[in-house]
Amino acid sequence: MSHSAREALETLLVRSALDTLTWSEQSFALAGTAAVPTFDRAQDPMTFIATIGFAGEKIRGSVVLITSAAVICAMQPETLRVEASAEPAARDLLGELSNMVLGRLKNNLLKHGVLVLLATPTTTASGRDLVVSAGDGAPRWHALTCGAGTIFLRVAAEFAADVVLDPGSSKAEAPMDEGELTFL
Amino acid sequence: MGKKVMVIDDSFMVRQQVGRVLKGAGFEVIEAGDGIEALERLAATTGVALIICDVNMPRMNGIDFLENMRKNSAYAGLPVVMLTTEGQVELVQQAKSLGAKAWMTKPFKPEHIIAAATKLTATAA
Repeated sequence: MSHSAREALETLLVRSALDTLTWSEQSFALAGTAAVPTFDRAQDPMTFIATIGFAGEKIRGSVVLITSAAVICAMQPETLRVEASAEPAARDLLGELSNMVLGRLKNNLLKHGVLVLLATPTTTASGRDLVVSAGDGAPRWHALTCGAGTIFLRVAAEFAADVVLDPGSSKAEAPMDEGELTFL
Repeated sequence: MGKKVMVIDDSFMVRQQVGRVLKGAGFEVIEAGDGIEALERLAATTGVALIICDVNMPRMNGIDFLENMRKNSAYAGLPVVMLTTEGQVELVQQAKSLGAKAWMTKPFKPEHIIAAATKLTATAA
């Protein structure tokens, strides 16, 4: 596996997530990486998990997002905010966020000459921390924080030996910009 | 009663958010959770003036819905806006070839929803 391709993918994922989260009107920032996502269970008894897969000719994998109900409630723009304290609503919103992050990651990969197709997200809720360590060669968890708490995300991917994420690639495309309306 | 807009998205919360924006602008809103449900609801409903449709959905995606809908001549001129996380130009061209009138990439801006709905329903009955 290409170390530089993995690093580039991780960088694109974090950028895609931060850019997507500007929609929330919350100020999210990268706080660092963690081996295992952890939460204060007294404050956040339940956490929510979204997983979404992607696959292309030269790269395939999945992205996982984990966060608390408080963050999910906070990440909706004020003008669009709908009640999200119940589990189905929180899972639905986190699934949609993962969809938007992956859509943006796909667009960023297109700009580097790599096409992937996206699966639909699956979500679940858990009252326990995941025991998934970022050990030898395992993906890292990136921690994005705002006033309401933290979103942890990670990407696990397999690459073709010759894959290069190159913005100068002859296969690079200019996709439609996120958050824009275009009449056809 | 305002003009009727069908919102198709597998996310209930997105349907709620888009619906709230449209209702606030005077539109009537009906919903469907995927392409198959949308075709069924369309057949059972009269007077739909606009469709706002996601692309990536289970059972039947937005592009396949568009293709199936256009097979019925009754909906040949029904305007469709794609509202999706996808920005791939090939998908946009596919939708355009099937008669989609606009492409909106998520996260959406409420003013874009209202602008598209107002413009594309201006000549609808």
